[in-house]
Amino acid sequence: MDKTEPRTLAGFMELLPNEQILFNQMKATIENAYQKFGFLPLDTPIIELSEVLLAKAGGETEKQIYRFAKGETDLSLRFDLTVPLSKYVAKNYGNLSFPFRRYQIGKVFRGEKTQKGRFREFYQCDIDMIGDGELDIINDAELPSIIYTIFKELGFDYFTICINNRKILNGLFESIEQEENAVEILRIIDKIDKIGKKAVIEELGRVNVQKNAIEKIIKFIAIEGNSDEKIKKLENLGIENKVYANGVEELKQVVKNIRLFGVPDSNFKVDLTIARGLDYYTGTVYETFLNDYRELRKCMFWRKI
Amino acid sequence: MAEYYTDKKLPGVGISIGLTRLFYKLNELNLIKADKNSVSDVLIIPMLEDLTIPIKLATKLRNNGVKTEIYLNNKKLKAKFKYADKLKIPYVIIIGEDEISQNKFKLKDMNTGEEKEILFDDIDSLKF
Repeated sequence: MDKTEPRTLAGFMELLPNEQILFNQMKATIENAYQKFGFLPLDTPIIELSEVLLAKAGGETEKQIYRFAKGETDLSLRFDLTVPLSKYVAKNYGNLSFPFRRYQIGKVFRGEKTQKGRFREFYQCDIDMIGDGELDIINDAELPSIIYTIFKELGFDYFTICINNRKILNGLFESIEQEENAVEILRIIDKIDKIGKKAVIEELGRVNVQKNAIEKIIKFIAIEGNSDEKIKKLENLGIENKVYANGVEELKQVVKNIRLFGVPDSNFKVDLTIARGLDYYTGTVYETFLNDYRELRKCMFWRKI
Repeated sequence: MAEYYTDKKLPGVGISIGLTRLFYKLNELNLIKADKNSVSDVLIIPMLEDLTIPIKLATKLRNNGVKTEIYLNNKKLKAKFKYADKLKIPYVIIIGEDEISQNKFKLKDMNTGEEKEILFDDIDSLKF
């Protein structure tokens, strides 16, 4: 009899028992931490109507969707746990208590280009807090303490949770009337380590940023020190802008409350360089990495939705 | 969020951990060790044909919260120990006719090699 070669699709993780034991331990650690903070469990279907799942999608995401027809019905596999959550909250609004704090751990599917370390089927472990109408800024500070708990329980001590607030950068650009140039300016200032301050100033001049605006940008990216010093310097930068002031105030609140939640200063810091590129973020942004392995930050996403 | 499904204003904040990628990366960087080959605390190795007592013992241990596996297939003792060794199961219980007649069983700590005789009556005080 002809035998079919036993094989698994590229981009789909399949583990040996010893690896699976470890994987499940990590998953349980994360789930326990989520429960420890009182998040409610949720399990939504892996398959949803395409119309529902793709209500918002577009561009890159839409191209990666596993989409198929079963009979007459147009179906898709979920590509994250956030869209199903949005649907769930809208659908069950009357039966939920707000703030609605839920966790969900499950597989999601994205038909990305296959390459080493990229998966088409992967687990996401999400927590979200949803407010009815509003959500206080202190919620932004509880999240880092959950991440802190998880990393500690996974056995890591040397990691850093970096915190920033998008409003600071948005407000800065607004105050120097450079909102339209924002992407270009960010691209240039990200090169400062490589090309040096003088070249950055020159390049900014070349894209028509005025001299006093350049001065403000340079002063802004030169801000250094510990978390409190950075906030102090942000406050004293002389930028008269509501969005900017609001961003600095929120950042100050978050730092104060992170300490209140028991995260030591050795495990978090204000980092004004993170999430510069992600212009769809509006408030607090975070990144976590193991101190010697910065690349791991890609495994963790934070968002305002 | 949810503006595609409702007119209600529902602001949210959250985290997403990409566990598959995190696991893959930590493993690749040797920052985690997949050194557990079994979830069992103990493997019962019966040395007799009648499995009544070994199964009863297993049920008792399981009810006490001990993760217990019985080697149910008729193989040589050496093969049974090899199985425990390969899966790195920390304890092995050996029960044969002799033990049963004396109301006890042998408990072997696979890490130290130390063997103890345990009375059936003392089973509730066993810690793994």
